[in-house]
Amino acid sequence: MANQVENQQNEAQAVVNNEATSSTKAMKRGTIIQAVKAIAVLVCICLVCGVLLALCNDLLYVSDEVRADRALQKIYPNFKNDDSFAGVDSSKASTPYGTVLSVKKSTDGAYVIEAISSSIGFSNGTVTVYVAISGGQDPKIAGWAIKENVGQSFIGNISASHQKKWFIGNSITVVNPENPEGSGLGSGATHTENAIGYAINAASYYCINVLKLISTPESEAKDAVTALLGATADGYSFVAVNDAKYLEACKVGEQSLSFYFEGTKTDADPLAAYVYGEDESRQIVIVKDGLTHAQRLEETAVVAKSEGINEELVAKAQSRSYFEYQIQKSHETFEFAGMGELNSEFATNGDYGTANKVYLSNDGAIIVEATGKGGFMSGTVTINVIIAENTIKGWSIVSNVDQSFIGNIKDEHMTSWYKGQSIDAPIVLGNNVVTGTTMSSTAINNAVNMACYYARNTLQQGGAE
Amino acid sequence: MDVLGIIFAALFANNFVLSQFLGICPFLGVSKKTNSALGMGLAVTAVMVITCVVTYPIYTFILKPLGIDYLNIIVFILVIASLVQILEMVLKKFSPGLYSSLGIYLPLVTTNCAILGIAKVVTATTTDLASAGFVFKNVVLGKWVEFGMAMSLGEAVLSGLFYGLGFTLAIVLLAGLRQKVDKLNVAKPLRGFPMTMITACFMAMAFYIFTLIG
Amino acid sequence: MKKERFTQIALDGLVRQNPTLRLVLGTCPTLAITISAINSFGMGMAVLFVLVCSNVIISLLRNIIPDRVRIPCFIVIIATFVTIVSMFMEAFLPGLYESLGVFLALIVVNCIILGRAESFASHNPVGASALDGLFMGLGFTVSVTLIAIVRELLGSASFFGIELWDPAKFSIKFFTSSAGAFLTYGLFIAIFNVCYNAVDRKLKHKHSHQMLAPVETVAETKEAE
Repeated sequence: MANQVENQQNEAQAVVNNEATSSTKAMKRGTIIQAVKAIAVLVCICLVCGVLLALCNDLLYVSDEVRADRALQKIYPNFKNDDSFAGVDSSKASTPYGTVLSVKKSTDGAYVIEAISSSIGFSNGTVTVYVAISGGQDPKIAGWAIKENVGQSFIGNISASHQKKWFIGNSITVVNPENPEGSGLGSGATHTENAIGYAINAASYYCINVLKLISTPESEAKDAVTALLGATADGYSFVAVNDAKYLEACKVGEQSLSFYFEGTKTDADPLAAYVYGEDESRQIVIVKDGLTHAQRLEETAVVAKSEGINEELVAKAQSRSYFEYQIQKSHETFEFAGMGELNSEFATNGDYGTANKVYLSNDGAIIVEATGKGGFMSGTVTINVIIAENTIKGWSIVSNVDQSFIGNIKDEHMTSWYKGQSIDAPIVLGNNVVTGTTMSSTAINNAVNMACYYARNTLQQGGAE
Repeated sequence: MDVLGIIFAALFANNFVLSQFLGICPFLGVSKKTNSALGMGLAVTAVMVITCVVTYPIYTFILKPLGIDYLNIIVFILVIASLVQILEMVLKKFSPGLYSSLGIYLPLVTTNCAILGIAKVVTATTTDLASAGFVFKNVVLGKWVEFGMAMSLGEAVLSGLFYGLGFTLAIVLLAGLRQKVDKLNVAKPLRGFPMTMITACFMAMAFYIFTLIG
Repeated sequence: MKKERFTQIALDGLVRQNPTLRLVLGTCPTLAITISAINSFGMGMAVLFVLVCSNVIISLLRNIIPDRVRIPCFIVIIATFVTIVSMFMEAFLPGLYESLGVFLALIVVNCIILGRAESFASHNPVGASALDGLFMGLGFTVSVTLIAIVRELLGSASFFGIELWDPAKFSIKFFTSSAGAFLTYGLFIAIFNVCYNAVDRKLKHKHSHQMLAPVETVAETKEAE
């Protein structure tokens, strides 16, 4: 207010000065009276107006919170900020697709999430978007808008009408395709679209895994397992094993295994959680994993949900781990007897790759986990090779890096290829291992040769002693 | 500070007259002759720069801290009116030559909406929720700005200068065109304003190209 | 007030001195907001409110305000009402407030308002000034809304925000651009002039006393610009 008056005075002063320069001395007295009157009137008007405006401001004041709500209502029309919501959990904000920067919750249960994509846009740039995700039983993407970008020169191709159509109505249970081009977005700015898709995926991922907007049977089972373990669960990360044959193999009478989780933690024994049934009738058996077959049989279940848990279920869970099951596919008599000591002298070979672990079996076989190089895009494949009596009994895939066609290699390949071959001489990539994924096959062949190389040398040494 | 970006936007892409529709009255009214158009343009540029220099600190350091930013329209318009009058007197006293060429346009500058427009644009704020990280769209700059002050003082003054020069560019170009167009023998109802508007329409089309760059 | 005076003021505001189409005043908001009919109508109402209020107040104070400070006084009064309008809109019509943007504040320097204050309200009684404000405001509102209807229909295939047909099938994006604004406005002035002159000539022919001749209070607003 003071400032306003000050301005008035400046203004009036200007008028006075103007008058002063243009008037003669004789008229000066009259002019001054007139000038004073003019200033008085102007100041009065300004004061009255100022007071009037102050009153109106009190009546019609729009608070910053309301303004912030309105900004978000452009993306989600019903947005009304829920003050009790804590905002983004920065320790969990990082997702495989990008990073969640801020989260606001609306009173109707919807969320507006600000997420930046990982650097996969044009010239490794990023895109930051706001994504509105509706609440309720089946959360959907209700709206989104681009906030800013780094280096996306074609972002102008993505117009407001695209922002009104793309992704909208998609359920977050299906994380949107990694390459939006495939979903027919087609603005011509492919890289930028990818970055947008990633940013939106980051928001969806956060909703699923941190906000837990949707509960799948799997996530419910996982929650039940962690709840059952209590404090013991801290630090463990549970990954569901999605192998229908294994689930079927663990069936006990009418009780089929609905989920099997592998829980790992640095510096601690792994856990295996067997979840039978659903909801109220759910029975969970958690077994300390990484034990020898004998130990597993001796040790009782660490925890079992509900007092009336079926003893058969416990026995079944204890009898065979998922690791054993995989190996037993090609070598039925395998029973885990503990870890062998890795002989570092023969653990690497420049032509093939590396040997990582050695497992021992009660029947005298050894299993070498070896990583073979030379795959697609210079990636690698890690496999378990079962070796007994100087021949290969079978192998199975553990993991891979960048081998997008590895899905072409089926269980029957694993049980048939290499079976019965001697470990004495290097194996040449033969016609029998052609799947159409030449590069992945090469990496597998290298891994097999690596395992053979390791076994050949260490076993011969052992024999000499 | 994105100097080149501001300059390009001010002169071409966001040209005050041809794409933001600010300062149309003098654009149509004082564009009969190139000389007077240039005079008007320079007078507007000068007042714009001074306006930015004065209103930005007033808004940032007085109105906002005191919580009376709702008085901004009154304060801005009075500051502009005073500035114009002071400028006029200073020119009259110290540089009669410049006064005779620019001064006659100065009274018209007060009611030029480009001046109040630039004052509103450079102080475009979106309150103090900077930590909230949510954004508003700055009407004239067409970009999303965070809560808080959209511009620094340097950017404000630079914007004032180049938006003023953008205005000058447009009005001088129009005057040049009008010197030819006004002599054309067009249908009677089209003479005067309608023909000027159509000329401006073609200029706007040409300037539209710049919005596609960058 | 005589009926004749009322008719004069009404005809002046709506037709004879239509601020948008005859005097070509307040061009900035006209060009900017006629992209949509709703915005134009909202802007028209805002201008109407400010015009009526400022005309009334200025007319009331016309004998108090000294001549030399009249322009600053007018500006302060106008700015007050503009601020009130913008506060009101932000509180109750946030969508409109945002789409009018900076042009809402720029009503202060809209030539129509200062022009009417200077040329009409400062010499005339309150009733006449209020009426003048009302009809000038209506003249502005009707003109900008008409221009906006045409631009919106051709440019985005809708009428007051209601989509009439699929814009992908038929719409001329040109009319939503700034160049389209200039063209539409220019053509509107030309068409209005043609109609006005035709009617004027006909009436002159019929009546000797020239029904549509300008009244005395016509100010030299155009020149002042």
